[in-house]
Amino acid sequence: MRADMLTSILSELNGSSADIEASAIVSTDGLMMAALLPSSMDEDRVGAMSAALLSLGDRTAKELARGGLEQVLIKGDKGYILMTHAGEDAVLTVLAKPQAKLGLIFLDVKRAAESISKVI
Amino acid sequence: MNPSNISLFQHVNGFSPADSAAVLAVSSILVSMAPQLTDKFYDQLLSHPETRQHIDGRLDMLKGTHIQWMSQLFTGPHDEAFFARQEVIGVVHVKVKIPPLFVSSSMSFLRHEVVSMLHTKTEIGELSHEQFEAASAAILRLLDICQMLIDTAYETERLRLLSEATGMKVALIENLIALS
Ligand code: HEM
Repeated sequence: MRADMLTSILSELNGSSADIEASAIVSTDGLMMAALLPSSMDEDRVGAMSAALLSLGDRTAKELARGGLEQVLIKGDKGYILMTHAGEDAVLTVLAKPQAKLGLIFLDVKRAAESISKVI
Repeated sequence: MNPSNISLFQHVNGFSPADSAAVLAVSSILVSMAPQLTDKFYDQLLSHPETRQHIDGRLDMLKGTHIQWMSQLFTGPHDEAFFARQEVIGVVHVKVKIPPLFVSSSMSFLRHEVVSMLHTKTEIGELSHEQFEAASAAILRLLDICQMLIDTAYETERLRLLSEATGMKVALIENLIALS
């Protein structure tokens, strides 16, 4: 039931922009809660890495006096990985195309994260 | 450590109530060996510059602590509280930054020395061959349990420190390790 609700939030998010290629919701322990990822991607790996990066981002932002973490953004030559908190106990990870308009994606991701935090 | 893991270790390494009894049966001889064993232990640690630097200035205090630890080892009881104590010892060594290599190598030294001293006691007739066999096998098993508990405490403590430094939950770190 909860998994279905989470998947439908991801589905809506992926549909909100043609630039979003995949997304997933992960617990802060790194376990996958819901995912719409290409079958070639290892869910366990995506889950653990997303949670690790967000934890490190959190800690780094605090240590370097940047305040509360809003997001972690990784840019590769084949696109972006965006991670953000979805409530206290979950991480929302989004994969986007290299030419994606980030401003719009940030807004959609923020909205999705809020919806997720209400479900969890 | 989870008591079921300790009992699994005991099951596989063979430490039984009979082993505990074999140690207790010769405990007065073992306790009388403790000061000499402790001197040899610290002579060995003082003989290397890297281990020495952790001991200089607190030799007498450490010797006292060590004799006390050995007395517990030799007089028991080898129960949950005893095992819990070994984990605490591990944590203390992590806190004072003693590398695990130093603990495992000194434990290895101790294994050899205990058996060798018991052997001498057998040669001079203070112990029967049966007592020697039973007590040395039991002490070796016990020392292995102690080391496993100290090693586990090291691992746990290192994970905790990594978790503290990175903000990653210990469960997340375990999940990352499981990926490889
Ligand atoms: C067979 C291996 C060892 C055993 C069984 C052992 C035993 C102990 C015990 C029982 C304590 C007291 C723990 C407490 O306060 O609760 C202790 C503390 C300590 N040990 Fe060891 N130890 C071992 C190896 C070593 C080695 C190899 C070194 C250094 C090269 C070392 C250095 C220390 C130091 C510095 C302390 C802390 C003293 C303090 O500041 O309170 N130990 N050890």
